[in-house]
Amino acid sequence: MSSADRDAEQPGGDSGERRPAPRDQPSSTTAKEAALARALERAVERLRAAPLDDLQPTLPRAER
Amino acid sequence: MSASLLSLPAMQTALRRRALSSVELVERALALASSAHEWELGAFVELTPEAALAQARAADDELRAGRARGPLHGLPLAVKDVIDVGGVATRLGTPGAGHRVPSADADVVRLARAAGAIPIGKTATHELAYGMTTPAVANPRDRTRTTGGSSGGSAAAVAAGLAPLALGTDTNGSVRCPAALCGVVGLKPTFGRVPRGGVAPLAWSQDVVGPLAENVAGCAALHAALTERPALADLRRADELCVGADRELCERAAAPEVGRSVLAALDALAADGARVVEVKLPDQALAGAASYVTIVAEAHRAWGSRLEHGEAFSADIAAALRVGAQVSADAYLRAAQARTLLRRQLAELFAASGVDALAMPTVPVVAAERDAARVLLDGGLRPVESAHARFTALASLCGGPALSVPCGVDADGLPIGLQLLGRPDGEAALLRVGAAVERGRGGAPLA
Repeated sequence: MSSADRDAEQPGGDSGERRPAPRDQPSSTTAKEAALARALERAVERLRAAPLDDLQPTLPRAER
Repeated sequence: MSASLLSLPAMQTALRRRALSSVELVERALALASSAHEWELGAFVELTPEAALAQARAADDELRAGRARGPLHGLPLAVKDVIDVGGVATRLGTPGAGHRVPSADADVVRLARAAGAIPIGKTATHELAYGMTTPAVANPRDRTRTTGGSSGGSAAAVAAGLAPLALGTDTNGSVRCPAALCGVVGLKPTFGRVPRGGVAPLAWSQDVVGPLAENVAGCAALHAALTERPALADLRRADELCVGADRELCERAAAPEVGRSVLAALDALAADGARVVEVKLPDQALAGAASYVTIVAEAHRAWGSRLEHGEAFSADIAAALRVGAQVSADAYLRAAQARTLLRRQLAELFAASGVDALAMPTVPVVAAERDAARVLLDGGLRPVESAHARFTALASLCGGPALSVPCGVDADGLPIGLQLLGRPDGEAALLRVGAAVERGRGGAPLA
């Protein structure tokens, strides 16, 4: 029995009507993950382009 | 007469005058929610009739004894299925991960019950509340359309008249987006003011629990219960309120019908006595990027170990959790800096302009087709998820309150929401402005 099957059998604690748990759909996981990774990259690029350095106290450069 | 034919004020009046008992009201709500037509909507994943009717009988006994708990006394409440209800399975919209049967209510359910509200069931959520579409639920205004998410089940339950009140959660807009697309009122409270015990986490630095209701007064009453504060005495005063609006943003960054509807609502507000002034809002794209990085990292922190231990998530959520492991410390810290910068800019804007609320669309588009991955925006096709979060991320990142209130419909009758952002702990002003927007369109729920 998969963990999903086991969990779906847990008692609901009431006698009410309920829906079956959603099933995992086989899909292009790699493509989805790649798309999300690209979205993350774009967000990080946007942050790198923002004027955030003003918030960061900088140490004076050591004199040579 | 079905429960859906009664407005929230009519329910409250009927209960107060004993024209209707809480048992009758809850029975009607349960019968309607479990009817074939409404069950196919997908708003509820489970109904809890035995517990609900037992509480309704107790509520009626109290009313007969002259003990009314307030405006929520005896009213049905729908609860998003990431929030624990004692003795009822919490399933989080996952295929198996995180399923459990809690022994106790979440704090917010306990507080809502104490105020007299009666949980009647659990509503569908986008898996883990990690997404802004809620694919399992149809929009009651047009069943071919999305509800938005992640609290799509709660918004649909209220919009369909299955429950007058609902609890949702909001990490990046998950109360406000479905409220806007379904034509109901939704409030994201100030971060940290509503207890989160018994609520499944997504992103610890942004998660809040918020109320959804058919009208602003219902939202205000449920928010008061959740924060253990007295309900607002007067929602009608709009003459002393000042609202900031970025008209150029409304025209440029939203679909034309959405922008026009929001601007028309602001004109109506001004006619109602509020002062509406022009402002320039902080960089919402920066807020979106910072919020995205924050949530992706924190969701992995919350759920990544369960994924590694083989618990069952959908393929899409598993992919999102794996990507969360890629967020570097540098990126997370830049997101934190962006939050600090934007909070400072918002505080300066409120101080300089003296406004009580900043107005903008809640969502830049109306509800898309349920299976649409992209929507037309900015003259091109944009991903639905990022379009839905375009205007909601700022309040989520910065922590202040935000209210979505219906302000109109498009040519096809699809709802449009106006969003109001407030100062931290500025919910009272938002609710007053929201009530004025409601009056501006006649005060009736969207039909």
